[in-house]
Amino acid sequence: RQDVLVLTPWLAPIVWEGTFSRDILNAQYLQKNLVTGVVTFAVQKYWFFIEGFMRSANKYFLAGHHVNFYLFTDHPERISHLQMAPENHLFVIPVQTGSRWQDISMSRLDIISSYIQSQFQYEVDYLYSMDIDVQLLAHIGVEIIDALVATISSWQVTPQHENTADGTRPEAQAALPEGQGDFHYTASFYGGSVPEVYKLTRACLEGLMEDRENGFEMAPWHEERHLNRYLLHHRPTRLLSPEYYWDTEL
Amino acid sequence: RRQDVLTVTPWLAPIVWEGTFDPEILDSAYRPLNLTIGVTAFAVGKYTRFVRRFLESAERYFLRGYQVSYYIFTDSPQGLPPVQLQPGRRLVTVPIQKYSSWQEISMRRMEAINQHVAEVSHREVQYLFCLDIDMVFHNPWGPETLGDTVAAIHPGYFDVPREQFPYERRSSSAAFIPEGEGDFYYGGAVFGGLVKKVYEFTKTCHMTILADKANGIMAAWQEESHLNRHFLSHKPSKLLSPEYIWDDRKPKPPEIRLIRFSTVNKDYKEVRN
Repeated sequence: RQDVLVLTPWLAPIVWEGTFSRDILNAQYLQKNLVTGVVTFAVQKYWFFIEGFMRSANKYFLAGHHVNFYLFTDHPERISHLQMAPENHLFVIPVQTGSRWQDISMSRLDIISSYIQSQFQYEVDYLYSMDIDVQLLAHIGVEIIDALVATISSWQVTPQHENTADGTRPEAQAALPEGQGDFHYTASFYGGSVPEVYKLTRACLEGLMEDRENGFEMAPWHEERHLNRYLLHHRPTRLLSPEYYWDTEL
Repeated sequence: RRQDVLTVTPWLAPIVWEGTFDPEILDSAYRPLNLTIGVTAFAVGKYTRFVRRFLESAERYFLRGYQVSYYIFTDSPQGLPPVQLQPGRRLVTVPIQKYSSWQEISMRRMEAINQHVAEVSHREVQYLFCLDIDMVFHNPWGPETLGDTVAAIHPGYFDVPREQFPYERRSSSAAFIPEGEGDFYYGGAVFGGLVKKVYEFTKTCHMTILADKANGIMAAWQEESHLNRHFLSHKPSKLLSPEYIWDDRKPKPPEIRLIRFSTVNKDYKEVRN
């Protein structure tokens, strides 16, 4: 691919169709005997998306490899019988996250980090957080497996650009200093090795809690802003191109 | 950004060329880690004459500002010239036996490096580079080179079709690579990575070298052939472009914008005697 940027200035590959051989990567993945987990949340009305997500993820996410799907939901009774591929496992975990979406956002990070500590670290090597309101339309394979992986949602080209996706309260903890920030990453699909995801979710959670303590009313994009701030200082080892990102508002 | 060369392998390992990376970003990521990087180099017999230029140029260009331990493997520790080192950098001589032929010396390197890692360097460094001594640094070699397993693309074969790679082609050798296989031709003069990984692959290469010895066969390019065999089945996590392993006898093509590390001109017959 010569039409796109395939390497960041810190030498992390940017994954686009055509830049990799899935065969070679599959062989490497199998060589290392790895297990990958996906964590996703279906809270309140989002139970509606479960079937579509699970069906497509079961078919397209790391097809042929052993995947643990951890589905956190406050509507476990709404889950119809889902046919899973033989190598995949689905764990339905009931949760109560409160009715305010602000609490839900923080709960997600809290739940992911505490479950990593108590359970996931013993069950998987790599862990990915995905929004439930998506359907996979094509294979997402082991090209996503690396230490710290984020998905580009939009192209913020040069360091001179101020990140326009940032909110209007620059004093909030996650405000990026002017002139910084290269790529903008989406909070709807990120992951990596279990230790790295743990550090990331804890850092974002602490950032959000500090914002709340300082009286900042949370906006919907705050979780993503904390994610971006973390990734500015702990650069991803691999980036997924916008091919891997679905904007449900589009 | 480079569009004239391949910068990512099909297994998503970066290929490091001038213009693909920002040294400041990488420095800001690596400096806080307080790393010590080791370098092994073999100066046996007449090769001790290369030590001064190697070290002096390394002090100027190799991971400048980082802690570095140079492990010079030699059969004549007293024959090494004294070289002034920057703070945070040290020289350690590792006595080794001199073998009868240069090929033998070359092949024993894997064993020597492996043993030394096990006994000494695993405690002292986090990353280790294994370099040829008869070479000189001409431009910065920085933390862009650090990775789990690092190999360098041989300057003679980076723009040549794989059928022409000088892999070992005899199936009786443990370094055998059949026609139609192979990603790159890696040079034996530069390789490295995390010290644990270097331990693992030097051990594997040493084993395959011994297997060949037992079968009375020596691979076409000694341990370089075995290294290529290993890196075919266990692909490196990072590749260095020929900027990092140049041969000054070659004319410089446009893709090579910067020569960082290259051979010293020498009379091979005289030095290998």
